[in-house]
Amino acid sequence: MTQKELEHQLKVMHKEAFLWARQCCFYDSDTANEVLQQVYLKVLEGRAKYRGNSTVKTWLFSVVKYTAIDLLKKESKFSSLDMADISRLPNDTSETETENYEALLKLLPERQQEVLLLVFYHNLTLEEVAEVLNVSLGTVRTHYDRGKKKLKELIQDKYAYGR
Amino acid sequence: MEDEKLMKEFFNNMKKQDEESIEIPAFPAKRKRKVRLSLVFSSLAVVVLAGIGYALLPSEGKATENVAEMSIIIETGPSLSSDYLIKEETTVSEWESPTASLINDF
Repeated sequence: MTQKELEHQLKVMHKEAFLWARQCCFYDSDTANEVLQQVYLKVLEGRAKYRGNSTVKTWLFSVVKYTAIDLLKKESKFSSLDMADISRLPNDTSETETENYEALLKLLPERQQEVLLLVFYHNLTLEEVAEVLNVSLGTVRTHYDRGKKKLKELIQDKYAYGR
Repeated sequence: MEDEKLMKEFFNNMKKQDEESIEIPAFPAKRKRKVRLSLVFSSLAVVVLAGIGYALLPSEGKATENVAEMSIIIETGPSLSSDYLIKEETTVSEWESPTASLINDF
């Protein structure tokens, strides 16, 4: 794939890449934008090379993920999602007009969130998720099953106790 | 299967909400290289200084003019004859001390 073709692909996938970057940055749009700028710079400067071993989308999502990790580490904004406080349930928040999907997802461990988002939001296969997150397929399957179970419980709780 | 359906519904709704509420920044356009103004000005300054320097240097035409104004007059006369200037010198082997006559041999 030539550099021009790659740039075209990046342009086509810009929206999805931004949304994924945002999800990697705890749903913060400004940080996501910064991450994406760095990703494009890496690609233009040849620091991130697409070798054709996977789909462009899988490769791009992987670059976004690891750039986000680096940036968040630098900015010391990193905080474990595992520590999410149960009191932040959407039921308790004042955001009643719109569904707070992000708040509900934040109640899951980070890996489970990522796997579910990549599968159901970004339509990746489990194999592709394993490539993006650089983990084994078995690990992805475990997070997928646990994540689904946990999210199902959270959704049911939410509707059981009302908004 | 029911779980899958529930998940798909949840994430589809999340997508819809994101599309309505999240503003996607524009894809960064390729920028043409910005020409740094300081670089332009410094280059211009160098060119101007070089021009001034060149203008201040005496040109070849002027130099020949000055040379033309100079005149060297060579005069020849009896006192400057070549015979007077070139003296005949003796070699070391023929040299004799001017006070040699004062030495007495007994």
